Amino acid sequence: MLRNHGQEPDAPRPDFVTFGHNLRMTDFQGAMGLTQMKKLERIIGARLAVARGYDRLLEGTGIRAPIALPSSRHVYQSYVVLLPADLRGKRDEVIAAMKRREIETTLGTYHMPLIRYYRSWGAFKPGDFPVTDDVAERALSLPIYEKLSEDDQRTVVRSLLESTAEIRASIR
Amino acid sequence: MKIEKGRFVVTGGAGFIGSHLVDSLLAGGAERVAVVDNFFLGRDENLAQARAQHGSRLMVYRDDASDMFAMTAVIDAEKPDVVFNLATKALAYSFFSPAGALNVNVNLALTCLELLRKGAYGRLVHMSSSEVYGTAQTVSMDETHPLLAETTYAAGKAAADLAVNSYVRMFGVEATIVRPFNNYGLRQNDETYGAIIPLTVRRILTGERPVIEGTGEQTRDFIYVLDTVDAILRIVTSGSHRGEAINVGSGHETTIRSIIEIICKLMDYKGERGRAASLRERDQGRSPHRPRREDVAGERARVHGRLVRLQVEGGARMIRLAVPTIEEDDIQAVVDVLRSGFLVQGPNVKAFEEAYASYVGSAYAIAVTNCTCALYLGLLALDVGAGDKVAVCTYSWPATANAIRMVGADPVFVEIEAETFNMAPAALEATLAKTAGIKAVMPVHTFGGSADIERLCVISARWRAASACLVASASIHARRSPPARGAWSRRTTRRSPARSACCGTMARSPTRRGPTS
Repeated sequence: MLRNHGQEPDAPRPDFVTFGHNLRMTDFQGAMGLTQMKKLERIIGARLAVARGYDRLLEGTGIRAPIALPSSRHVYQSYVVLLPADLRGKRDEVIAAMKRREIETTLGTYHMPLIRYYRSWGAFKPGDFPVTDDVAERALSLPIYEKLSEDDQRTVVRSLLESTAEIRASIR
Repeated sequence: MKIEKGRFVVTGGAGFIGSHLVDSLLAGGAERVAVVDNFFLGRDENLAQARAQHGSRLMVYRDDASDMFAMTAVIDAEKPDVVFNLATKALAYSFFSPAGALNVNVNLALTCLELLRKGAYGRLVHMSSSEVYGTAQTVSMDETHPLLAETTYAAGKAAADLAVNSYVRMFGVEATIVRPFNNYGLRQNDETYGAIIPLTVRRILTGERPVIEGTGEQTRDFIYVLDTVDAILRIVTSGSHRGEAINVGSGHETTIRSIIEIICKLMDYKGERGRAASLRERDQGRSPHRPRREDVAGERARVHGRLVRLQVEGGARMIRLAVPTIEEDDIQAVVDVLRSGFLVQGPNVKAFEEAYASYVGSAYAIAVTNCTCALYLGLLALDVGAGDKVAVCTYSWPATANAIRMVGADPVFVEIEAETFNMAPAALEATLAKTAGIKAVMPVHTFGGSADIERLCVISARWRAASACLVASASIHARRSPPARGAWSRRTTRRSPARSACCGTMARSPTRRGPTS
């Protein structure tokens, strides 16, 4: 009702029982949703395989692989690692160093209380949420998609280790 | 048509693009791939990988594909489903033998077409060239661009294209024209008749100056050879395409000058750049050589190792953060809806809702325009409105907190745990103890990893917070983790005073950054 202009969905003729929005999915989105649903398990399976590959490659490197809640299945919408603590605040430099190696990476996501709007809305400051402060400055999202080859995964991790070493050297 | 178990003939299969096509056909499970190549520019070593990995399914005929007798014998022996006609002599050959270059392109096509007309095989994929268009008359050079060939090579290709279309019209044969733009990559010819990228790399490696022909401002659309091969395979596997001409390019326009500058930078070349008249404006008195035959395999490998990593503006070989899985059936499904004329409230949304509900094990699913809308409507359904408070995690795409603001309520941020990046149950407990009147809790399954719904529900129920809205791949957790789901429904039905809403997207929007919203 609310997505379709406040119309009663089961009424035989249009009956606008409240004010509503126009938030209906288009039919071509629905059509693609249907075809994507058919391959959903395959896509998740492939992403899990990529994630396991990264997990192995990252072992013992000091770069923390993502941790899933036990008994749940992570689907890796993004594969987000935590850079070592000494590189806190250097994440954007890592992104730039990776880009020079022709690999696209990005930050994890946003520290909502510290984005401009909520910072002024709620008078938040660094220190209010120390865990988020730390994670938001160290999280790095690595390439992940169904067709990412094992070779590419190795290239990504090798480049990440080169990049972090390069940035460490520049700090000292 | 599937590649798996198919039988294929590739003319020019030992060449640059041809050999990559052969590799892909064999890797895709083809029963038989036969190469017909006179090794004018083709090289046996281009087929080394195919031989080593799939030798029993590969056959190589050292023969001329424009020779009707030879091709008839090959087709009789091989009985292919599809012939890919990639054989040609390089564009630059047309400056050595103008009529020969034109003639060979036409004869190759006619040989393939005659055998197709007689039913000797089922389908022809004819490789033309973007050269048939000449210099762009319109900004976007699409398939309807006039054929204004500027070299006899291109004239031969254009004539061949017209021949293909006339056979389609006269005899209804199954034939498609593919017009690739400027390919680059491993195995590309870097000797006589070579193209600008491999020639420039070779010049720098051998101590010569890179040469900019003409003004250098002329542009090309460079495409990585494996992307071209991928496109050819999609054309074959995605239906008939009879009588169609299909351009294959990267969509990025790059000037010759900038491609040379990119190569200089990648190779750390700081010397000067040479100049030369553009090949096509030059007189015909040029004296080219036959391709050199000496073995320079080691050097080629070194040259092309760099080429593979070469990044054309726009990043052809950049390892992307995310590449969506969009296949022919997805595209076809969307096109079918567009053709049907029923764009909203058609049957597909309903079917999608049913498929989704069944996948997540829910009684209902309601599809809306995006996940922010879903969160917004979920909050409205829970009677969350002006002056209410909703607990939400600190670390998320802002859509989550924004949905709360959109209904006029105030977000109350809850700290995350460093391990899972999700709302920390202990922090929720502390927030609920400290802040009175929180009506709902909105955890987020950040990055596709499940929040600890079971514990968050126990805590919410203890503090009588109304319910929880879930975002980003909530569904998958719910289905895959029965204990959590059981706990979820028990808490929400028995203890929680209000209703609950579950809002999610499949989180399959990889071009986005951060959680899908």
